[in-house]
Amino acid sequence: MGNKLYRKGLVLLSLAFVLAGTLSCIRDEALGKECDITAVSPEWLQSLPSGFLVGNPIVRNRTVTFMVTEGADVTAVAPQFEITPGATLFFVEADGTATPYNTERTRDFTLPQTYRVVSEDGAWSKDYEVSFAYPQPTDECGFEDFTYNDEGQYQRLLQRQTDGSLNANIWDSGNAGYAFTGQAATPLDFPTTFIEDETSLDGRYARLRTLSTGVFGTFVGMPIAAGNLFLGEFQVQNAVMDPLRATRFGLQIVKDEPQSLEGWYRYTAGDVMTGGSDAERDACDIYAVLYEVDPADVVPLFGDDVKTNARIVSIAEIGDAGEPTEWTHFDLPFRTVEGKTFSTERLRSGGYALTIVMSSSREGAFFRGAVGSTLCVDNLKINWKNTAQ
Amino acid sequence: MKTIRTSLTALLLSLAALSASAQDADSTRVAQPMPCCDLRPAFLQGWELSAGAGFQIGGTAPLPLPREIRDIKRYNPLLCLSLGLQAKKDLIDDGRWAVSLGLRFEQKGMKTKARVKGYHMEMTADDGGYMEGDWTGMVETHVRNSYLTLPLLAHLRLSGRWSVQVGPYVSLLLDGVFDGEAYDGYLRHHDPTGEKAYVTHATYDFSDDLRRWAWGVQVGAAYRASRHLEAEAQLDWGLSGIFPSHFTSVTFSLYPIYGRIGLNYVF
Repeated sequence: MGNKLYRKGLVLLSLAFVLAGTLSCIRDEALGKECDITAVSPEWLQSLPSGFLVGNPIVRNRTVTFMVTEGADVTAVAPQFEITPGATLFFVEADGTATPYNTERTRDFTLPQTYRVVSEDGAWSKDYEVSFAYPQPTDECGFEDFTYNDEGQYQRLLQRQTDGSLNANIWDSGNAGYAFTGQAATPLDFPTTFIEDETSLDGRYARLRTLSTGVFGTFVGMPIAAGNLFLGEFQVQNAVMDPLRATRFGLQIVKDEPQSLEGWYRYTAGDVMTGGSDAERDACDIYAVLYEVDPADVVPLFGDDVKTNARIVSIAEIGDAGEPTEWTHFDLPFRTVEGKTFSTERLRSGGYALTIVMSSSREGAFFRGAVGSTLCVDNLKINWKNTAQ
Repeated sequence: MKTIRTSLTALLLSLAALSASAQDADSTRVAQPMPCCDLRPAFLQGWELSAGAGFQIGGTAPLPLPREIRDIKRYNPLLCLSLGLQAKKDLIDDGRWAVSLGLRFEQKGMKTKARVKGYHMEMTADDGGYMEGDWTGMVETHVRNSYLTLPLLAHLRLSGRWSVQVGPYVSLLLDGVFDGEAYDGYLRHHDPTGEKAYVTHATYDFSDDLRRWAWGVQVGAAYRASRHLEAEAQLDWGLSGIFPSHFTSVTFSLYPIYGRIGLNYVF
């Protein structure tokens, strides 16, 4: 009797241990949920005639933008993409129906066309707006026009072009990275905003603020986010891993040799420096850089070489901007780097790129700055030398 | 940490006191199950007292393992100790069934390194920051919780030496650590279609969010090696997640499931 009970007891005990063991087994992998256009096919890019595209395609989370030369024929193009492994690509027709993608079929990109990626598990999908546009040289910006990102979280600056159209791919900021911190409840809580209030100089202006990234920022060792705005692209994928590589400065929107960068600003530095010594005072930065590019393989400037790269031809920078509380005019001459000259021949071949960079904390890229530092900028203008005519 | 030290000291002191009184008792004992001149206070007459120490090994894990966990690269059980007292009383005269009430100081901890895919998490920080997304990459988790546990067990004697036990327990968290790192991966904001951000290294600490009370079921077996010495193997199956149900940073409930091997001194 006792022996039987004893055996029963042991069986029960081993069952419990076996149950614990089985339940902790690795289960079969679920099918993929992601549905991205991860890149434009490099083979397809290679196959394009030279002088068709300007610069690199900009692949965002829901858009792909190709910049083309002025007058390029975009009525029959068949772009090819790389997508998430296991996912499926579709054309989305004008009536909203989806048809399977094939590489042969051309589409008329006079207006943007839509593509859909469906995840491997079929439960998720994402529509991409694919557009081909001629980026017109940028002369001036009054920060009057903006849109919101796809999820409506933050403002994105629109550049009004010479023909009156609006282009969303000229300016960018680090707002997309700040969105991850969850610190902002409304678009106006972001570091980079475009607002109009009683302090306006002339309609809207750009307000760049250095803000705390809160608990989640400290989790990744990025305690602050400086308000920034620049000509180029912010690649949010790299915002946390390699923030200096996330800011891709510059576009080939150069009309002529730039003479000066003009505009209006005011600045207040925050009181407590993060990542620096207490004796330091935060400072803003406004500068423009003209640099050489290989039109066939455009490499932008990054956060760690935007003022030092060997391809730089000339720089205009504000230097010690102080803390004027009233709107103050600036006109910063482009100073040519020793050994460099501007060539109209290179200009015609698309061999120059320009960036304009503004930041509420000069060292913001290295997460040094004071929370509360606020830089306001309005009526920015590039003066060209008019030598190319 | 201070609370642990205080409670440990208290526990050790009471153990020492008990063993001292047990030695007194020993000297007067005769070879009978129930000595005639028991020195224990009246309310403990008829109770068998024991004190023990042991090691615990196990995991604080979601059950079953969710599909998001793709690989467990490393598991380190950590050194987890338990120190306990137990008072046991026979229920009926045949000596087969007994009940016991215990008081145990114990640590339940582990360190794991796992690869996850599309692990959904939501976090609300003290400063109001809110983050939601799907993480794909490596996760290191470090848990070390100290509990004061009260088990109520039914004992069934199977033979002269063997017995099995089963019963519920409640635990009070004295001190808890739940932190770790997420690295070499990427986060998709909100859901699988959201913005993607690669992350080389991020840390997290949810120690302050741990649930204060826990409960579960204990099942085990004991072997009486000699009159005073007993060896035991126990399994504690936590039935309450270590985080409160409104806590969403870890999307699946984590249950502490720990085995214990220990020695008891029976007075």
